Amino acid sequence: MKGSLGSLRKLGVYLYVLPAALIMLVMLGYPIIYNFVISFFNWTLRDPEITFHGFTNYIRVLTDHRFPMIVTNTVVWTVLGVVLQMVIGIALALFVDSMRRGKKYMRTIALLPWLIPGVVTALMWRFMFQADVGIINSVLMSIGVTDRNILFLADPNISMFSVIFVNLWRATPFWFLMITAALQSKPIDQIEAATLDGARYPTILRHVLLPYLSPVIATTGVLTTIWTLNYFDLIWVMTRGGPLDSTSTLPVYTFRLAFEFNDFGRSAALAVVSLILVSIMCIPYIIKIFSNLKERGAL
Amino acid sequence: MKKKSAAHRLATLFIVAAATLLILFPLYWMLSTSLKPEAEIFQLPPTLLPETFVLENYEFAWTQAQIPIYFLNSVTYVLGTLVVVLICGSLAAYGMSRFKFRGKPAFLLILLLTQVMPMTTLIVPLFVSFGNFGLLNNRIALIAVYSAIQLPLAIWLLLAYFNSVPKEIDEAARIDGCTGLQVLLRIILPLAKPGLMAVGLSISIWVWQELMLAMTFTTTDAMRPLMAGISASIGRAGVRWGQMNAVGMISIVPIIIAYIFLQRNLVAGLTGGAVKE
Repeated sequence: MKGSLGSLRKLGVYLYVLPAALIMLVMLGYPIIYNFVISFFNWTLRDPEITFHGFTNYIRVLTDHRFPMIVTNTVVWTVLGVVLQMVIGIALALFVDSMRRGKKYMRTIALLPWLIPGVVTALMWRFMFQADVGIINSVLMSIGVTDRNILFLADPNISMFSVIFVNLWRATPFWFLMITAALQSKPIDQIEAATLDGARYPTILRHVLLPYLSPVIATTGVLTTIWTLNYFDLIWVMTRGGPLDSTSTLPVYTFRLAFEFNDFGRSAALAVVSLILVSIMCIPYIIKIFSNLKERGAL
Repeated sequence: MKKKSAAHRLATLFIVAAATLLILFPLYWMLSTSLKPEAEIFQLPPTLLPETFVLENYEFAWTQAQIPIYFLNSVTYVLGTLVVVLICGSLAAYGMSRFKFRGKPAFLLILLLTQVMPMTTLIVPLFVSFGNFGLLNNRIALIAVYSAIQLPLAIWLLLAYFNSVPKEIDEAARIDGCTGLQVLLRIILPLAKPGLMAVGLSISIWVWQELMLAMTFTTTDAMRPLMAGISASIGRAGVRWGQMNAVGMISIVPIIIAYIFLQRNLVAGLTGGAVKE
C-alpha cells in the first residue's frame, strides 16, 4: 500500500514537467521529425502528387549551382560578422573599463541597438543606404569620399558588406555588455601586483585579463555564432537575399525555397543540412557546458 | 590609479561621441524622416531637422495601413506567450528544482540542445501540418509555437532562480500543510520575482521582434503582427519612406518605454542567461 502511494507521488512529480514537455514535443519535436520525412519526398505546391524521392532532394540541393555561393555567403556573413563583433566589442569594453567617467552612460546606450527589432533596424538602414535619397551617400559625397552614389544594397559586390555592417551595429553591443559585465569582477589584486612588478598594459592584457575573460569570450562566441548563422530578419528585410543571391545565406535561401519556389522537399532537405552543420559546430561545446554543470552539482 | 594622460581623455571623448552618434543617429533619422512631408524626404541635400513638421505619416499609418490591427496582434502574441511560458515554465522548473526524478539530466540536456535548432527546420513541417488542421492564421497555434521555442531557455533560467531559494523554507511550509503547488505559488514565485521579470522581459522582446514564423503562419491582415506587416509593405514597389519610418517609430514605442523604466531588469534578462552558467 505504502509502496504504491510512494510511486503515485513519484508520478505526480512528472505532472509538473508535463505541460511544458507536451508543448515542446508537439511544436519542436514533432516538426523536426516531420521535416526529416518531408525532405525525402517530392513535395511541391505545383505538383499535387507527393512521392517518395530518396535522397534526390539532398542531391539536388547540394549540387544546385547556387549552393557554393550560399555556403560562401553563410561563412562570410557568420565568420566575418562574429570576428568583427568580437574584436570591436572586446576592445571597446576594455577601453570603457579604463574610463573614469561615462561607463554607465556607455552601458546604457549600448543596450539600445540590441533591443530594436531586427526588422526595424533593417528598415532604418535600408532607408539610409538608399542610393539616391539615402543620407549616407549624401554625407560621403559632401565630404568627398565618393563622387557618385554607391549602390550599397543593389551592387552584388557590396551588398554582403552592407548587411554585415548593419548586423555589426546590432550585435557588437551584446559583446560589449557581456565583456563589461565580466570585467566588473576582474582580478584586481593580480592586476595591481603585476603593475607593481612593472608590467605594462599589453602584458597585463595578455597574461591576466584575456585569460580571465576567456570563458566569457567562449560562451559569447558560441552564442553569437549560432545566432548570426541562423539570423534571418535583417537580411530578409534589407535585401530579400538579393541582388543575384549575393546576400542569400542558408536560412534566407531555405525560406525562399519553401515560399518563393514552393519546393517543400528541397527546403526541408536544406534545413536538415543546416541543422547538421550547426550541430557539428556547437554540440561539443554544449555537452562541455553540461558536464561542467554536472560536476559542480548544479543539476 | 595613475592620472590619465591627455591622450587618454581625448580618446575617451572621441569614443563616447562616436558611439553616441553611431547608435543614436539611425534612430534620430527614423524619427526625423517620419515627421517630414514626402517631398522633403526626397530633397537633396537632406534636411537634418524637418523644415515642415507634419503628422500625416503617422495619421496614414494609424488610420489606413492596418497598423492598429497589427499592433494589437503583436500585443496578443506577446501576452499569450508570456502566460503560457511563465506558467508551464515555472511548473517545470519547480518540479526539477525540488524533486529528483528519472530522466531529469536527459531532459535538461535536450532543452539545451533545442537552442541550436535552426528555426528553418520548423517552417515547412508546421506550415504543412497547420494547413492540414486548419491552423494557419490561428492565434493559438502561433502562440504555441512561440511558447515551445521560448520554454527551454525560460526553464533553465527559472531553474537557476528557484534553486537559489533555500529548500528549508518550503520544507517549513510543507509542515504547515502547504501542498506542492501552494509552495510554488506562495513562497517560491514571490521570492523569485526578479527572475520572472527578467525572463518575462526577454520573452516579450523576442516575440515582439519575431519575423520568420509570423510571416509563415499568418497571411491575413487580421492576424499579422507588426514585424510581418512591416516586412510585407517594405517589399512592395514604391516604398513610401515617410510612412514606413512612422510605422517603425510606432513599433518601437513599447520597447523604448521598457528601456526607460525597466533598464535594470533588461540587462539582467539579457546577460543573465549567458553569465549564469
